Amino acid sequence: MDCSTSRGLMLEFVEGTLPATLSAAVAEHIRECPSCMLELEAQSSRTRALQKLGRVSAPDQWQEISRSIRRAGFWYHLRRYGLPAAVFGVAAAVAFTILNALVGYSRGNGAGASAGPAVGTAATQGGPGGSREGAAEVGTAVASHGEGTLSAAATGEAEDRLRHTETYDALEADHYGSMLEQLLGDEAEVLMAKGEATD
Amino acid sequence: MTRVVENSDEALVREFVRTGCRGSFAELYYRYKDKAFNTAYRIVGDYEGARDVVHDVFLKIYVEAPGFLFKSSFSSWLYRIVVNRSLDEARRIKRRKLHLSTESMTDDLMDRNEADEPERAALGREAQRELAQAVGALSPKLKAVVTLRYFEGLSYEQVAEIIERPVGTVKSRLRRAHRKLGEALGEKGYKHAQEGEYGLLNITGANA
Repeated sequence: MDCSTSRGLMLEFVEGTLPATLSAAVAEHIRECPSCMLELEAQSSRTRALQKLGRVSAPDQWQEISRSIRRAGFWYHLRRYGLPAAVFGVAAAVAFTILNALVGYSRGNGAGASAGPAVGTAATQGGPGGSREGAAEVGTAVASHGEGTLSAAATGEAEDRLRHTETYDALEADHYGSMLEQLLGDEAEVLMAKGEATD
Repeated sequence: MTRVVENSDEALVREFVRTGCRGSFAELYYRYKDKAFNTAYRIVGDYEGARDVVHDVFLKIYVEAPGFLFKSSFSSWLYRIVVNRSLDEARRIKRRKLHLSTESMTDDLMDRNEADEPERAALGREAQRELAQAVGALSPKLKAVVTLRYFEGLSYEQVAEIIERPVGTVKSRLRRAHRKLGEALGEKGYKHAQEGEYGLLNITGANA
């Protein structure tokens, strides 16, 4: 064993933590090497001196630590129990609000989708047909029953459509009569008279 | 209270976490206050700084005990917190240039040592003062390893667990510390050893 290896193992040798075979090899080298012997003695004396340096007696800080714990207690418990609960509460409130809004929107949208066009149809169809009263009635019915009065709206719509059809048929008959008169003139009267005679 | 005193560290931690029993925590404090303070004092090199470290360490333990997973022993956990907080404190003091001179810290330590344990004076006040001064001049990381190994008497493995480094790193830091101490003390270590102040190592008896 050379000096470099011996000094590399000196720490464990002094502290007695080397395996027996290595320890014996180091001891053999040190006995024959005055330089390593000096190093060993210096290191072992330092080690013993360090172990004997002793301890200072610690001050009793329990009162101040206890006070700090009491002061920190609120934040400690808030952090340990309060914050998770608060986060959960806020998350639950947000989720509830979003859910509530979604449900409300779908309800409003559903009612609007079914009732809205019915009202609109009634209004537009009631206008040209001259039956504004009917349209107003239907509108009033929808307004008074609010959302979900689908049957009332549908009934109104059917009635209005019927009125419209009758009105249209009357208008169409008048229209075709006047056209026939313009085109045929007197012949029309003749034809009509013939027809009446035939009938 | 007798029941509390007889409990292991881990049982005290469990009881404290489960019930919030302040008595269990107080028992842990009184078990470890000397070790925590001495470790902090050796690394920080300042009495008031060490007080601050111990205060913060036990407050941290109080707050973080519910998250302690018992993967290591309670003492290793405590030492780890003490060492890390002490290294922070040493850095803070260095940054603010509040570092006490090594000599004044050593004198302070020697006075307290003699007041507490008069029998230590037999070792030789001058030799102790020089050695303590040399230790105080080491870097905080080397001081931490020297403190844990020689002053607290922990094994290499325990020191490695506390500083979260391999055993090889612990040994290399100890070798470096010895080299620096040897340079600082010069021939004094050997001389004191010959004079019998430190005592000579019996090679054949201790290591063969």
